[in-house]
Amino acid sequence: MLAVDTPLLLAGLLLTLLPVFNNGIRPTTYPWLAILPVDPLSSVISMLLRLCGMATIAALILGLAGLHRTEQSRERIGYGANIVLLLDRSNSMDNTFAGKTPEGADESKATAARRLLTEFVKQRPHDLLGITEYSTAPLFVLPLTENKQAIQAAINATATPALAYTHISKGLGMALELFADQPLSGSRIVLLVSDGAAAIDPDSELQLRQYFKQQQIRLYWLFLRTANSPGLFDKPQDARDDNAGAMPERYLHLFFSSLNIPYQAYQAESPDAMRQAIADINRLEHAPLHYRERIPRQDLSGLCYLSATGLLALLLTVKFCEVRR
Amino acid sequence: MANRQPETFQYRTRLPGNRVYPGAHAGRMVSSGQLFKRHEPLIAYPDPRRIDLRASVLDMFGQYRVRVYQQHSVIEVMLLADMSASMNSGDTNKLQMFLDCLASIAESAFSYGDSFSFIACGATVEPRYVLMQCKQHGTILSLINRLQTARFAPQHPRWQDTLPYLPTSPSLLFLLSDFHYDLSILKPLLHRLRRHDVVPLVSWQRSEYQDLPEWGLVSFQDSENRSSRALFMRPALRRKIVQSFAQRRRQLQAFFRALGSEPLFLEDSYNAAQLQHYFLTRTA
Repeated sequence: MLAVDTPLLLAGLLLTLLPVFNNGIRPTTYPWLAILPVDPLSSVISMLLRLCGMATIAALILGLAGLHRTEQSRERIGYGANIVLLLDRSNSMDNTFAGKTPEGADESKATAARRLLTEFVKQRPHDLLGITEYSTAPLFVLPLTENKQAIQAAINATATPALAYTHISKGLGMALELFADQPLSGSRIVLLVSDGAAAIDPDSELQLRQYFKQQQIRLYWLFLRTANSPGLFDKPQDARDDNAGAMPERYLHLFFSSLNIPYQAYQAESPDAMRQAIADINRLEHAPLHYRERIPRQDLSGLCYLSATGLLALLLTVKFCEVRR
Repeated sequence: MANRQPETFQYRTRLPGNRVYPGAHAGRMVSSGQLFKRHEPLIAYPDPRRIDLRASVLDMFGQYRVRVYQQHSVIEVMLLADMSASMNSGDTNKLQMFLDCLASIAESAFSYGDSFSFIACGATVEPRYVLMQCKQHGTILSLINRLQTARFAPQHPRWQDTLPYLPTSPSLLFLLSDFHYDLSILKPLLHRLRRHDVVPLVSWQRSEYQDLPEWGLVSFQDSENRSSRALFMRPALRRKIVQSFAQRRRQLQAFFRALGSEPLFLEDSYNAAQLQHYFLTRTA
């Protein structure tokens, strides 16, 4: 939709009628026009001059009135998903898979995650992506958007040093919140990237169960397992250790499995395994997706002035071609 | 203008005048003169000095016969001028030519002792610009002064308005115009022109066709109906314009030859020698 800032100025469009009466060439009196032969080329040029004049005046008036295209949304269909990346920002993510501080060519888990996620995002042009992070408290980074630049920037921003602990339930809560006011279109995925887990308190557990059900979420857990730490599928040797406090990963996995939602856990112990997991997700999540793309307001007055300048330059050239007598 | 002595030319008329006043042109009147015409009875021409004895003796009725000679008489010279805007558009040349022509014809008429009449015909005939049977230089000068500030009407001349002013006896009539209009508007004048010796003077400016620029954009505004047309001048178009003027010239020649007179094209400026040449080469 085209609109203007100052509609009152549009009254100036009446001025575009001026060239109808005057083609801008200074008239020379001539005794008898009828004796001049009919010349089609001259008539065409005269008409073009008038049109040029009209267009120039119109462009200037529209420019003055502030012509712009209003903000619009466009419905688009793509193959992809609504994906919320939930990234762990706990201290341990800055360590390598071996559990050490990275030295030299070593790559920390956060770096590997960043690198692989960047690739993942690049491969999925039509996805809507949102990013939340969590540490002691959840961090809201980016709502669901298709702006790839913003997503990339948000992923790159995880290069800053990590924060303190792991408070996964609040992070999950926020990730699910992002879907709250989105239309139900395409698959909804939460991709949890973490290297550890924490126990979920019963209150949060109840809430999360409800959210997961309501929002029809598919959950992928990319568990970056540090060497010698308990895995997702390990059974404790001692029955006394079989509790959420001692083995939070196992219990979180059990919790997710009990949600009755499509859930897949990947336990990656190296960057390669992580790549494999991400490729897997990439392959699985290709459902048609309806979404509305927002096109921001576009100011056209610059374009108006530009064309007016061009036309004026043309008219000036013509003026110089005029015969002076 | 006024302080310059106008150029004169010599003219003669094809039609014998029938005015009684003696003048410089061969006429139908018989009286004293150089050229013997015929014998008349003394009763009709009671001039005993011219009694022809031999003719009287031979007269079978025994009457006195008198020799009568062709009397040269005056004629009326008239300038019928187009005073529409196209006669005074663009440059000042045109008005100058108009006034030069008027002064020269008047002066030439006075040099023969003929009377000069002037009628300007614009949207109508304005009595201010009408002179009838004038023989005074001063009147011509004041007319020229008046004409210098005159307004030339932006429409074709209404020739029929001049009809009441036209002389009834055969006269030498100059018709000065650019003839930049449909010649059919001359129709009402034609039957009255036939009894006069008409010299059409066509006043054209070379700048209107020959001296147009080769290249460039130009917008021409008609001096009479104010409509305008933009032209993209280029050699081909200029050639076409020159051709169209040449065609117009032929058309005017054909039109006036049908009337029994040859048009004289005055281009850019008035030159009495041109008229002199015209009268010298004119047959009959």
